[in-house]
Amino acid sequence: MKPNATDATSANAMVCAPPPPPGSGVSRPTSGIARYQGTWDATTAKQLLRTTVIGPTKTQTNALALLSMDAAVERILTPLPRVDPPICISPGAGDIENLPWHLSTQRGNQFNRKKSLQCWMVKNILHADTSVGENLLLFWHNHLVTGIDAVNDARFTYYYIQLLRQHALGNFKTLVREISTHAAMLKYLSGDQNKKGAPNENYARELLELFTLGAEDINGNPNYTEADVEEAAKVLTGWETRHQGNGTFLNPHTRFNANQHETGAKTFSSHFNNQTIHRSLPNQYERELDDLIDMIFDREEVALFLVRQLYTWFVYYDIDSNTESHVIAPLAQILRDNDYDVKPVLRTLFKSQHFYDAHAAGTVVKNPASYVLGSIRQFETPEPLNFPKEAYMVYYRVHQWMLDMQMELLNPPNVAGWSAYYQSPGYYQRWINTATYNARSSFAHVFLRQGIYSATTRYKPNLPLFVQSITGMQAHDINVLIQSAVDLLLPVDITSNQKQYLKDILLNGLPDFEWTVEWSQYMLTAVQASNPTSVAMRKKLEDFFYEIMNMAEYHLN
Amino acid sequence: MNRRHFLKQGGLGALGLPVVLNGISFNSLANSKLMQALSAVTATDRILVLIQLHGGNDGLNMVIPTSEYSYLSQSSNSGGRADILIDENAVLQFMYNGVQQHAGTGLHPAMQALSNLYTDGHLGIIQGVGYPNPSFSHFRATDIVLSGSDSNVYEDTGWIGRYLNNEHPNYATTPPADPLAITIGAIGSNVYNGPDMNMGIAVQNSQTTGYLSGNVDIAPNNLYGYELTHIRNIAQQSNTYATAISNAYNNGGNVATYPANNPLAQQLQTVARLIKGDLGSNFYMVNMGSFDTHDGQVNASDPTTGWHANLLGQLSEAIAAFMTDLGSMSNSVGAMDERVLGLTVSEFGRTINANGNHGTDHGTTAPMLLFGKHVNPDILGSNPTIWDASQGAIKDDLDMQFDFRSVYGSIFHQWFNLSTPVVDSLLNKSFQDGSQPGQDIFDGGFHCNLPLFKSTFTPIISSIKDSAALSNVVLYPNPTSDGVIRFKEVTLGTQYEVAITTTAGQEVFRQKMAASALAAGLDCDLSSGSYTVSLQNKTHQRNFALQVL
Repeated sequence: MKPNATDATSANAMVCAPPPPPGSGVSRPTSGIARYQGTWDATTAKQLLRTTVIGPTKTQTNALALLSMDAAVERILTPLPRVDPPICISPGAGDIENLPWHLSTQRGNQFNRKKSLQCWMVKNILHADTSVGENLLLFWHNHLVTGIDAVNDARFTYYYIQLLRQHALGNFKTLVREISTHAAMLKYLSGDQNKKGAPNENYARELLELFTLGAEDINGNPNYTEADVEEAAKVLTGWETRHQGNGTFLNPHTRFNANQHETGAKTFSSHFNNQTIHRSLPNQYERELDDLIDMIFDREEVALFLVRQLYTWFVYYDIDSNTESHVIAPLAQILRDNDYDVKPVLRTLFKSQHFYDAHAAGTVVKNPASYVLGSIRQFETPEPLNFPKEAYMVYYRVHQWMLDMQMELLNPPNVAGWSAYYQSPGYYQRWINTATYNARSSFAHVFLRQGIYSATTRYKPNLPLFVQSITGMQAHDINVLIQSAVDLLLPVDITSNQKQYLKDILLNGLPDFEWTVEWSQYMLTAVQASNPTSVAMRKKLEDFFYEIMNMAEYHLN
Repeated sequence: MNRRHFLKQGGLGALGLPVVLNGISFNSLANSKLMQALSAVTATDRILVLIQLHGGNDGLNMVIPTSEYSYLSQSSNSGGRADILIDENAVLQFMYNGVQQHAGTGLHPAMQALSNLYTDGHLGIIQGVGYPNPSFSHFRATDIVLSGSDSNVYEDTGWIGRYLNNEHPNYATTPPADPLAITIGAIGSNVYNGPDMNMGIAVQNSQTTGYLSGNVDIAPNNLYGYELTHIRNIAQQSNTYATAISNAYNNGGNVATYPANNPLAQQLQTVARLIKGDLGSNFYMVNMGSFDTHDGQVNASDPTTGWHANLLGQLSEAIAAFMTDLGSMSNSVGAMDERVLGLTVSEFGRTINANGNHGTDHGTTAPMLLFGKHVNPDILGSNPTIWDASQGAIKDDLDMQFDFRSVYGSIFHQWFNLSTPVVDSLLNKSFQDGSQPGQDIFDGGFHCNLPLFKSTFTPIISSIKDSAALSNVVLYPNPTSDGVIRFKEVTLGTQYEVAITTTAGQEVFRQKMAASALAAGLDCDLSSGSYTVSLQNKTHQRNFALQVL
């Protein structure tokens, strides 16, 4: 499976603009990874949070601003917590409602389990603490792709996500080694069909091209040969899933079958110093994979490639020569110096002058997870009632919205991941075309005004409570309210004209004090939820935040 | 695909950012099937232009009851408004055929242009418009006047939105080619709220607004600004109606000179231009703010000047320029001023009593202004009563003479030709239409027969379109084997709509096209069978039987 441009987000390729060309006058950050020396305050805390945490709340921003930069970054680098397994919401074969199914010996109803697993992903992101973890999980999911439809066994996909969670802030090399023999990956990239005498190159190719080296280096020279792919495929022969049909589910889920291993020496090209991989004893055959991983990870390209991916995810998609030499190369060196532990790289990046350079703020287009789930988090949406089942039903509808915006969790369009992170021109701009923009707009309408509903829940923010929260109980002051909303919801401050316009939505030219009068009246009647005066205030806030969610600024992190 | 699902898909861009008229060329959805799809036949060519006066307009300082000056001229301590009251001699008289009308009532001296409009016979006034148990909250009162609800009922939909939803129940799934209703401004007015969605489109005039979409403040020249600009462009292209509106704007034009530095005039100029450009919308909402005159309503030194005087002057001159423009232009439908009715609405009036800051506070009723060629140039109702004889004191608030829904109902019934039961259901009241004997329009009830229009005006719009003028038109080939049909001898008009229905009555094709394009043929992609082909414009229609082999 090669990356191709057939996913839906590429349909609008024509409207995507290339990155600003050199000499276009668009100013770009020129600083490197030297430690940021400026003041650590609400602005820097906000920038760190917006690019690392999906939908940081006001409380989280305030808390982070009070820490030192070092402490704040350590907080962000908190590993992912253990989470409860997904539960069954619509029972199929062998599953019981409201109970987990991941230990089931049955393959079960894939449609229902997929739904459950996607809800679980949504739930984990919505409940995440101040950590880059869930965002990084999506990064790894996008980088080391498996798709649940192709894997065709939700249990494997569950353990795949658990593997990514375990290593999200861990060691890249270990993760690649583990995922190379993970049942989900063996299924997804045909590793379980890669047998002695009948090699299947699918995984070997993507291991080199998409997961570790990249097809070419920065100068456009190939990083490996076709023969290298063939030899790597031979190394990988013999790994099998222990999944058998619709029944048995054995643990561990994979095994090495020495009888299916291609014996003999595998010789690689000059890209790998003509290295040979060969273990002659049958009980050592499976160690050839470790040799292969060692050989690949000896290449400097691996670190450069991964750091570019991380930079694309967290900072900007277009890497100019300045960024390459002052950010990418030194970070790659850190990755190698730390034997591929990811944390030191992120730590350095998140504390770098480059990261906080004003020109680097607001450059990442929100992906649908960030737009939908981030909004739900930032607006401090009250939890759905009747946990877990009803909550899962709500998460399902939430995820359907992401689907409308062209992002289905656990099912990226292909092995290259979402085209927003690799396809030129446009990259992230692909998330937003005339169809998905309207889908986002419709989501804002439903989310703020009607609520995302299931049988008994209308999942929507309590906007009067929310504005009290973000203003520190100063919602009666319209200027405080507008500035607080802008500070929390938009990446950088907007112009005074824009703020005046936002004020006009609330006041239509009335003097400021009328807001205070109306707010006081609201506070008197708020306990009577259906009081028309109280409804009128809520509707005003709905209109106000709807317009903010439609601003181009809101789509950027 | 059901309507809710369609909305969820974001198929209709009505929820997106407003269309900005700044010459951006739109290409996104212009050629989609959706855009060519069904365009519902509008029931009428008539247009209503609403001017919303935000903040609560002081009616006593606009339509001035000089007959009540003995009370109004009392000091603010005694409940009067001496310190803001305009000299009786400065108040403009209502003149018609050189004779003063409505002695004891006049217009604010800043409204000379409207006074002239009255003399021309194009201005009507409805006194004392309000509703029972009025709200003094801006937000709540605005909701009431835009939704048409009782004061103790919260109603999500707008009074026009309900009408549009009635007329176009499939708006979301099969949007008409032209928008149903327009708000000039960044945000669609809630008056167009239908049960599922706002059924209007916001149009920003780049001369006046556009801040939210970055039309005025360009993005910063860095990577953030670079991405921002891209998203802004997509947002613009996302509006389903961007092309239709831009086309109308570019095809339209203005003849009259509109006053400068007058935001309302600029909005009305855009409206006139869109109407001239044949945009099929029946409703336009324009906005004017700053009527919340708690202080500085008048200049202490000269009550004929000040904040409110400036607003009324702008209102007056904007309306007059708009009427001049309409009176000078025609489009494919005919003379433009034949089709346009204007109405001002504000959330409430203001107190009789001046508040000591040369201003007034939130009050109850106020007059509405009605303008247009067919408007009854009269003042409906009487000067407000200021003196409360039973209390022996000046009243706190003005009494209601007409429920605002009687004005809406009368416009529905007489201007848009809706039957009384339909008006009843849209406004959720039982309306009297004058067909019953002994009806008194001044009884405070709900009337859809207020005499808002000239007696020469025929309120009933003929629903039968003329077919004779199209009698020479030939549809060919008939039968057709490939589904391509052509019309010849179309010599009348410029714009047509072709609709095709099966013998079972199901519509399978509808497309707007220029008269000149009818001869070139259109591919209807029909399966074999018998159809009825309807060729129509706003005044003419002829049906043809068609066989497809």
